[in-house]
Amino acid sequence: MSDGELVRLAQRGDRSAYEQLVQRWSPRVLARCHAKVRCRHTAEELSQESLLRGLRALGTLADPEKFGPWLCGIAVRACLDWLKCKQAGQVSFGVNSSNGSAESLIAQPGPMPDAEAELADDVRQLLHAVEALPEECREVLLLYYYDDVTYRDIAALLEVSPATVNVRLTKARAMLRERLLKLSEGVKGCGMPYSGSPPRLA
Amino acid sequence: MHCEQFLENVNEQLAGELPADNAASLAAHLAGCPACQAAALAIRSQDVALRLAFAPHRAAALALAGNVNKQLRAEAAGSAIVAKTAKPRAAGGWMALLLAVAAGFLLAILLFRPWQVREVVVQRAPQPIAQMALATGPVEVRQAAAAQWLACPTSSAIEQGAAVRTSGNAQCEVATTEGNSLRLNKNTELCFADNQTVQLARGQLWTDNYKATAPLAIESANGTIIAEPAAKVDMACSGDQLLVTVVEGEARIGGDPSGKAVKAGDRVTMVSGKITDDRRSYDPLLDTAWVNGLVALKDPASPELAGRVNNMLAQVGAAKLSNLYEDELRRLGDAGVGPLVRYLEATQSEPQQPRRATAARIIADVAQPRWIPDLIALLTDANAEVRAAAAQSLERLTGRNQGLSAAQWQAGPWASCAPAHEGWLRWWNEHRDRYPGAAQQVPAASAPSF
Repeated sequence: MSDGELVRLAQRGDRSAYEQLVQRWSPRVLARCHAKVRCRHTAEELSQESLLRGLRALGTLADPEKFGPWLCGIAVRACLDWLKCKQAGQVSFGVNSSNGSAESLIAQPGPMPDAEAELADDVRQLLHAVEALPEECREVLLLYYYDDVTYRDIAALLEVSPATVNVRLTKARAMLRERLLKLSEGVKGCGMPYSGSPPRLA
Repeated sequence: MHCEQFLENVNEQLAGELPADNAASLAAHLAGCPACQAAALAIRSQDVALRLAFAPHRAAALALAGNVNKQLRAEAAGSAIVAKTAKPRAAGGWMALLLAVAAGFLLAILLFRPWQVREVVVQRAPQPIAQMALATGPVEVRQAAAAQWLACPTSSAIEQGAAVRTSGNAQCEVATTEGNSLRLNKNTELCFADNQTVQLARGQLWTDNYKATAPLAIESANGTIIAEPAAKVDMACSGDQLLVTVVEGEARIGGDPSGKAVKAGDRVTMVSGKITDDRRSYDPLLDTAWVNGLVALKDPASPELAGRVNNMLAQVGAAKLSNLYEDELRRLGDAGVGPLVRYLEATQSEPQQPRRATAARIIADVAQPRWIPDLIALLTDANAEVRAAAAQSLERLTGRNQGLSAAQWQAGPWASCAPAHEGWLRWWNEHRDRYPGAAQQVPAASAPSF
């Protein structure tokens, strides 16, 4: 079923239709929030608020086919509000958050927060480098890797052309490579990697 | 077009977005531009690293959806109770309200008879009896008493009475609390009736009861198989038949008073609970090669993966249909390279085995950039074909050959190859940081003797 069909069902009171929309759009909403606030755990809380707000505000959605961009708009505004509050020194989450902790949002069993804590240094470096990218590059890269999306999907969400998506993704990858190379040059040791005995002549 | 524009094409191609017209010009440019070749390889390698790094993030997104939907259902249940219990104020003011409340109280007394002791049945939520361990694509779960199929990300709990299904080309692995590992092939649906019984509605199932202490019953429309602890059994629904292959251990036919056992290496066909064909499997590992894709996703050092690769390699050149084994090894792709490299390292004292050359040829064709250090180490191998395959693979991956072709590596002697080997070591020292996922050091190798 298309987004529009699910939205119309949900607007008529079919909650399971909204649940399917949540399944479909959670990765992209989380990617947009992560790009805005540069922290996955905070992004998860803001995404949860936004997905719940989406159901309550569904009656105001004029064009059901535009559900995705509309929902992402709610999420982006939630992130901007949070960033404003953070700047002013007041940070809180809505009453719909469970208890404000990131771990409680992850309902499924499994070592997700611990697994993230145990990432190898190089993977951690890579993710930090992603979060340090300029916003327009970061947004595109996170949307690309959070979900199975096409350039057209990303373009529709960001209101740019697919060609622009490719340019930003290319730039993001080049900047990541350069950043990681600079980081490693800062800690590179000396000496040859191969310390075997000299080879014998045949 | 400049190199910068070709690199944009590389990114488009990686995303599957490059128009067919541009693919030919890109390939032609890459063939003649070593710098763009190296950049293209670095982009692909970085893409692999990013996909791995983002796997927990994707799982977190699915978990987030699950949590939101749980909250939505809880809210819906709460509003339903409020809606049912809310009563409109009766017209006629407080007297009418008092009378209505009294009438309701009397009715409640008559209906519920509180003077009678009743056993209170507390319905507990179904307990999880399994967990989704691994999936290669979309997998759905329908929990017990639920009507909807929902996405089932890895680490999801599976309750007693739940059903799991794979769609498209997806395969998955489920770990039960009893110590069974169940692998579902594409288009398979399995219901978890209880701790020791599953029901195969359609498709193909592999069960490995490696840690189980009790048998597992697998029911289907055409028969029931009881897999004993430590057994490895494959079952496939095919039309109105059930094909059962026992790879290890033993299984019994459910409902058969004779208690016939199906032993390792046997393959039986069942229709309506009866065996209609009973023969030896040509090679159980080949018959169950479909699980290799899942095994390849697990720990690269997994003993199961190493065992499968070594067994298949042992059949290449030895068995009648040895090309089938080589095909399966190639189908494993980069995931199979680890066990093949370890095999070559372990058999250096027997350099001239043809099997080593086969392993090296497969590595040459499928290895990804993370194996560059191991390929550099293989350049010192005493087997000429192994050296040539390593050189060929390095040239494919990096666009360089340090001035020595694969044929020259094959011919030797070491004196003429040593400068190129030094060149590779220097090159790796300068470029290793561009290959996240690869070992930093080239493995120490024994002194070359060719």
